[in-house]
Amino acid sequence: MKSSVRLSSMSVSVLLIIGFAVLFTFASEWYSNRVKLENLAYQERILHNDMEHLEVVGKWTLDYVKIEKALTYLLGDRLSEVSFRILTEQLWQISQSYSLDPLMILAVVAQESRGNPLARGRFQTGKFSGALGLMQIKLETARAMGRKFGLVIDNEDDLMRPEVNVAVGSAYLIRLIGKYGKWREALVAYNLGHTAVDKLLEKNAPLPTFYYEGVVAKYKDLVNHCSF
Amino acid sequence: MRADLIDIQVEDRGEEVEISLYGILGEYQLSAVREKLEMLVRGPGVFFFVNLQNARFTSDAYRSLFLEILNMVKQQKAMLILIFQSDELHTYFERYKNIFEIYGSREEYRKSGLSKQVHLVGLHYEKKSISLSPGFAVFVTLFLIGWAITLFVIVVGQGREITDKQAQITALESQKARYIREIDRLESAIGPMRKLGVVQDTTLLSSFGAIQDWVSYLEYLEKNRREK
Repeated sequence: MKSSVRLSSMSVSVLLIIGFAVLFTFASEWYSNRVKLENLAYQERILHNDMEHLEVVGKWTLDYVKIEKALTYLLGDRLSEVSFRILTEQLWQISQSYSLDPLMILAVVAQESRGNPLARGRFQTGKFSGALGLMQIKLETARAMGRKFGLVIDNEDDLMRPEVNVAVGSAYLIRLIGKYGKWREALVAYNLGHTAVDKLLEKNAPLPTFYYEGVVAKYKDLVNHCSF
Repeated sequence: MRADLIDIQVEDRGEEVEISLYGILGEYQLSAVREKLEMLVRGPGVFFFVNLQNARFTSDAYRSLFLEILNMVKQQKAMLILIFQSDELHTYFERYKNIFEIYGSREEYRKSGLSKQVHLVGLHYEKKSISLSPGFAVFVTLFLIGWAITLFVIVVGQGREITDKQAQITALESQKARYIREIDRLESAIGPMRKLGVVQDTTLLSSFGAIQDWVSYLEYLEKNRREK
């Protein structure tokens, strides 16, 4: 056979052996790489899950620490250890439930009672206004809110418990935010009552903002104090 | 006109050579035909098609001649194919029909089987060696090189992917460690775990049960919040 490439049986055998060796090497390398990649993908998935969990826990921790720091700053040692912890947990849970900055609630506490859990509100005349506790809630308002939120508030003593007072006050504040859609109106209504604010809004009269400004100033003070 | 003159036509197509014999061939022409055929089959070519369609043999000696030519061709690792359709020639070669490859045309031979197709493409297999036409050899070589390169590229690609994944995992692990450090730092700002009631043996807060670490404590609070 002329002008052709002739391969002896030996050459063909050697070529076949080399071919199979290359194929086998490739297949084993490919398989081991595939197993490695699967393991790495699994590790990556686990790490992503861990990261997501840690991000959530990190945010929770940060909120908790902020609340604790702010409460210590506001209340000092006016509360027992147990009451302090229950109040911290209460605030933490409220902020989680309503995606609310806990420092905003504490700014209202600072504005209303300066962190005194036994505060009793008085008019300028010195007469008792009916406002009680950390968030200066009236018993009447507390009972109405309690009915809506499943809280049983029988008397003033119930309202003087910090965790009850803050729960009712926060619920009231959140309701006002829901009604007005803005912090400014909601805070003014918290201070003056929603009926008064509605009347002013109907008349297009300007809202008195000193209370709102006071809360915002307290909020800024708390943010500065709690920053890391 | 001399009696030993023969009418012969040769068509050379690289590895295929078609030799057409014409006219009445008897004893006088035998030596000339032998000489011509021997000369042609010793020349270049792998497939020798001898077209006898227009030839008529008046002597039995041509059968022996074609047997000799067949032997010569086989020694050269080539092939001899007789081309004719006439019944007379079929009768003439009847005794040797299992020895010669007889076809009606070249096309018929091409379509006669896969192995012959492969032979025509350029691969010729024998017991002791494999012969490839230069074109087919180049094609096979390129195919094998391409195949090896493809395998190599696949494995290299996998290696690169593994490296990338490992880098990602390292980054995620360091980020996770950073998160854990951050949470630990925040947690340490809160105070001893016993104060929070997360230590199992606390008598004050037995409801915490088996909660012994900070994350479990937060998860307990979250679960509690969702249940409310």
